[in-house]
Amino acid sequence: MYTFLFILFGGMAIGCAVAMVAHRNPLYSAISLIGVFVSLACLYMMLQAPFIAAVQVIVYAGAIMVLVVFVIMLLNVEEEVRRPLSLRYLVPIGVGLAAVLTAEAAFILKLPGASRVDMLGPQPSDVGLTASIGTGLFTEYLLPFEVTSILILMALVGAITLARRTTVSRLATGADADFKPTSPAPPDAVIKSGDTEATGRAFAKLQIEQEEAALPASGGEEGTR
Amino acid sequence: MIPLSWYLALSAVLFTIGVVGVITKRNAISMFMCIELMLNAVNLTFVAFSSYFGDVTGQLFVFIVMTVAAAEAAVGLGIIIAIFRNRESLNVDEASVLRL
Amino acid sequence: MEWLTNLVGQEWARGIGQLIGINVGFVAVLMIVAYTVLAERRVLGLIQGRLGPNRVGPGGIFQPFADLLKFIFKEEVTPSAATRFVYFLAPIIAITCALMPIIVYPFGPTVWLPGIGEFSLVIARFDIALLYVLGITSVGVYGIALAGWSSNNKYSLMGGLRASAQMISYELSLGISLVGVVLVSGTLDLYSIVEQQHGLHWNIWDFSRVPQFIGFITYLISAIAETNRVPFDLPEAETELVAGFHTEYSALKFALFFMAEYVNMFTVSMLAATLFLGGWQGPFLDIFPWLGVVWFLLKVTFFLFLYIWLRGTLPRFRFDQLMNFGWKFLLPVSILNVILTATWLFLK
Repeated sequence: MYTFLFILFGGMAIGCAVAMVAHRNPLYSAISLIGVFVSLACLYMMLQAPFIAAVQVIVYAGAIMVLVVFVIMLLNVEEEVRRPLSLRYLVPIGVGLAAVLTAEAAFILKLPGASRVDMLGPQPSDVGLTASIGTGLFTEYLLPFEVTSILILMALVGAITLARRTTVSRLATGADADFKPTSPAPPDAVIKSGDTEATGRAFAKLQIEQEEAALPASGGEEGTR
Repeated sequence: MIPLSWYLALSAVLFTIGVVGVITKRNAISMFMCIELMLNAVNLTFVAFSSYFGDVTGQLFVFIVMTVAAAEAAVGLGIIIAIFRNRESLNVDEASVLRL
Repeated sequence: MEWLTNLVGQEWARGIGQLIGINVGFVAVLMIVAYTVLAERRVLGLIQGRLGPNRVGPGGIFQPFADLLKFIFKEEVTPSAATRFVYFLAPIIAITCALMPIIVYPFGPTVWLPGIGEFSLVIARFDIALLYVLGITSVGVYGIALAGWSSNNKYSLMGGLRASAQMISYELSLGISLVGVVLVSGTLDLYSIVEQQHGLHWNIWDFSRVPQFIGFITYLISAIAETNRVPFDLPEAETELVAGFHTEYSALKFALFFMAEYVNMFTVSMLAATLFLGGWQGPFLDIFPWLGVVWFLLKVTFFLFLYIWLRGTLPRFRFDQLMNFGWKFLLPVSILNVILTATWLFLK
């Protein structure tokens, strides 16, 4: 029963991982990676670690991958082009070296000193329950816990700083990749650095004035019915 | 019941697939996802050892690795978005020099 | 189930018991959801000064079956440029993640049936039930995001991205509102949390432990935002984005999304009733244990009625007002609730 479940979830994990590497479309890779995370969560459940399984689903599959999927959708990332392999002779060498590595690993695992890794079955204990993880986290490993919270704060500040747009520079150059401004760049008197709302309003007013000045004496458009 | 070596072998295979992905792929987001796969393979090793030896330290370390991965995801994707805004392309081969 | 255990061994007996429980729970929840749809249309009609559907059967009782038949026989229109695999995957993810939390609903206390013996009216009791529900809700966001993207339609994409952004923002305050209850109860298992609220000592007004009314209010608002209901339903409002992320879905796939939304409503109402209002606790429970199911359903029905009432009464938020509210007001208030609860517990 456990063997069947292990082969099922392990096979799913490896299958989704290979699919993730093989797909050229990044969204399909992201969906396959979510499959890997969910199968790993099931494996953690089998290893009697339910709290880590739940946290894996919540953090990895439910938060990190949502972020990645958002970025892929917002940036409209395209498929990778299939490039011809430039160093073809490396592939058989790579396969040969992988075979050598696998043989070494199997040999090491079969040595008499490595009998501990042949232990059958996880010990039936309550190590994985929430209570024991909470106890460990808040007594013996309190310092890593607090340092991790400061790390998250740093990441928060960093992400906000990186994602912020600097509105001043866009208005000053007046040119953007896909936006063609219909009026020349506004004079420096309009731009007040730092006060983006006032700058926006002033620029909009300037643009309206310029457009009205450029229009011929129309005004009969709306009146005629 | 399942010997511990099976879990370690599964973790090694997942890690290797992640390494192959990081080396082969040219899209920044795909490389990032392969790095996350490598982190998860290591998490599996930690949890397997923690469960078979009855020690909670492994699972606490997994907790911290997950937190670090989340922080890295946030900042890494912010950097990727910033690079995309300047270069209009996510190909890491083209991003090998500092100037645009 | 002694006779079954003697017949097939303990593991198989438990498995069969849980399988029967899953089937019963599945049918019960789907029936309740179908009649919630009917109740919404009738109650909305009454609020808006008209009658709802009342033709099919006495007072419209068979309307859900008529709707089901309509959905099955409608023509399936698939946009030609849609990404086929993801387009089919999205409603499957949505409905699966909506139905998975059924197994932890605590419908009632330990009851006794002839032939089966004693059993508690919950399909699965495990240590992390509340985290399980939160995790499945987090994965349910993908149904909406992928549906919006794979329809190859700019309204769907905008609706899908806005809905997902709203859902992940309010998931935070949802989770943190529940931390107060977990602090008070000391366990994540929903059945144990209900057991601790014996009699009328419900978590919301129980001054012998820490009352959780701030947590209740923030939870309720986050839950309404999480399920994309009015006043937070901009991503699927008809006047704004055609129909949001499910614009391009027709017939059965749309029915799956529709059902998923109402099952999600049922799940969050169940959590509110269980964690804050005492689940199946109520008067006269020791005389008739089966009365627990009645109290549970009454409380869940109250929350569903509250949802419908809000839909009929309130206007909707604009998207930036929504995000402002979630991040700048609701999240700090829920964290404040956790701090107050922890301080109160520490000073006891």
